[in-house]
Amino acid sequence: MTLTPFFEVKDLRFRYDDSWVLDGLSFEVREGEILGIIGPNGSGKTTILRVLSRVLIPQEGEVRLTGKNLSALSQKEIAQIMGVVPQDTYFPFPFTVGEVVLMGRSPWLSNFGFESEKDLQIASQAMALTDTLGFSDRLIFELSGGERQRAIIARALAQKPQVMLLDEPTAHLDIGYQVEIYDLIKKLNAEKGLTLIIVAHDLNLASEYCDRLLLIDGGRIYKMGSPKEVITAENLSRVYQSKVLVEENPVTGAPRVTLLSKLMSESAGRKN
Amino acid sequence: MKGLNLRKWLITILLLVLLLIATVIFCSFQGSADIKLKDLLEIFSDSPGQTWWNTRAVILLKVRLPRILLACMVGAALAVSGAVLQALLRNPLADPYILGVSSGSALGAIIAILLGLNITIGALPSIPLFGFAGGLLTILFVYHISKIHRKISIQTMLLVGVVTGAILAAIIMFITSVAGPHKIQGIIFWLMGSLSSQEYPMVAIVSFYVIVGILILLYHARGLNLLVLGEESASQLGLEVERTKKIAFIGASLITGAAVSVSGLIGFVGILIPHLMRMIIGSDHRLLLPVAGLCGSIYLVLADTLARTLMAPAEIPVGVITAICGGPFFIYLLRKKRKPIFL
Repeated sequence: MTLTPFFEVKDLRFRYDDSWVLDGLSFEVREGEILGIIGPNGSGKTTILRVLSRVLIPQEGEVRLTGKNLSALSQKEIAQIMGVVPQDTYFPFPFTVGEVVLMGRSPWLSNFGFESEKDLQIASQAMALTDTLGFSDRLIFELSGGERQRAIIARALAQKPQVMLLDEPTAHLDIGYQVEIYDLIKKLNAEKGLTLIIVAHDLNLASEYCDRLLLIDGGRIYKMGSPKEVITAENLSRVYQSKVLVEENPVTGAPRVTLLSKLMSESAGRKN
Repeated sequence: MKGLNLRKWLITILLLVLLLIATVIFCSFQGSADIKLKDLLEIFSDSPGQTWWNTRAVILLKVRLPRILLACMVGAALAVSGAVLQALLRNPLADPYILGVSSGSALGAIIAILLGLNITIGALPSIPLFGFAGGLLTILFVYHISKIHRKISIQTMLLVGVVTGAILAAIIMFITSVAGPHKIQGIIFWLMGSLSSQEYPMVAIVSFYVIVGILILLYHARGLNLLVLGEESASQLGLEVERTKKIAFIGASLITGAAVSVSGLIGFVGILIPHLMRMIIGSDHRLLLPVAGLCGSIYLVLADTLARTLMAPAEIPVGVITAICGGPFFIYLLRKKRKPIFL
């Protein structure tokens, strides 16, 4: 793995109104890594993704994408480098899965362009990779949550991006689908060399699958490093304000988090 | 995997254009004066000067044809504007009148009726002139109120549009309640919508606005597809979101304003046709917009022909026909699932 910084974020500050949501962030994302962003609700995780994809423009600091200042790039140029998978997509009108995946070709098309054979091919490959080719003619809102999430990942892949940003990709999925999505993420990273930035709410999945983790608290970086460095009982109990037990996963060796109820750990303490 | 390509697009559009031409020709020969297709040959081959020649030619070319062409333009404008606003607002309930353009137009036209003005600018008589101005002012008002930090908030725009429409509707109601009886008739006739008694110059002006507006919207059709995903996703897929929203809003408002100022408030076309077409051909706006436009034309031409022939010489308001014929069919289709139909 090379160590060229893919994203360089320097002294980033962003606010919607009066108070800073992101308050002085500086970090780098390396090419080819899977970076997990973790932190409690309202700590600014999703806002970071919005700033990185230039949906939001930060008031202070700068973001460089492959060496270029993000604000100097057009929306189209950014979309040719970066694919984003949102938490949930609402479709008010009937689009087929194939149509949705083909929308991923948008940054490469002219205004009133039709997709060429090559675009169809790229979309088909993306669908094959995410195992969604079978329902390309079905309507997107007929799919289950896991299938729909895979179709949206296929759309991002059809952009032929070098980096993919995912916002809590497993938020509404049950455990089988969660592992399926993370396995897919790992596969894309290994086979396509895709750089991935994932906002993760599940600490165990983040710990298992990410190369590095960024722990955010109140719009600031609390800790950045390997899962072993970040996922510690001390860090987590400080940031999440709750008691946790961190041990080593006997199968993979990655840190594993168990939440402890305040009530139960107290009563267990009394019994001893 | 199937996709939309130029060939499919052209074949679909061409078929519908032929269907529209056939509808226009068919409807030209429907009406209280009995004119047959063979009469048309006589009109052009026989010696002019006879009175029957003159009456028939006048009825066909100066009464029916401009009315039918106007129905084409108004039908296309309402259907396309409805489809665009539904995408822009991400709301299946949106129709061309939802942002208050119609109420603004109506108030303008009613003021012209009330004052009995007789100004003509270009080829536009005072009622459509005031109607168009009223619509335009309303668009500008709604647009500027909805702009926060140089961005248009879609939610705010929807609410501002609906509230502005309600305020204007209240003023219209007040005017109607105090206007004299002979003026009320004109007002009500206008509010119900009608395509009657239009002259060619006016049809030409409306056609200009509607065709240019539709072409501009069509050019941004792929952007509308992305807007349906939401502004954030659209921008992450490379769309200049603010620009596309602005063009969609202004384009849709302009063609609605042009249509309403000459025909009054014809209901149901703008919500019915886009949904019908989505059920049949899907939601890709590159195909949906032209198909909705052409089918809107065909639908309104047929509806207006029924409106002027069913109880001839009396006329039924065309909005009654569009709703009564289209509504049940719409409900029937809602019960069926959409199957993507491609050629």
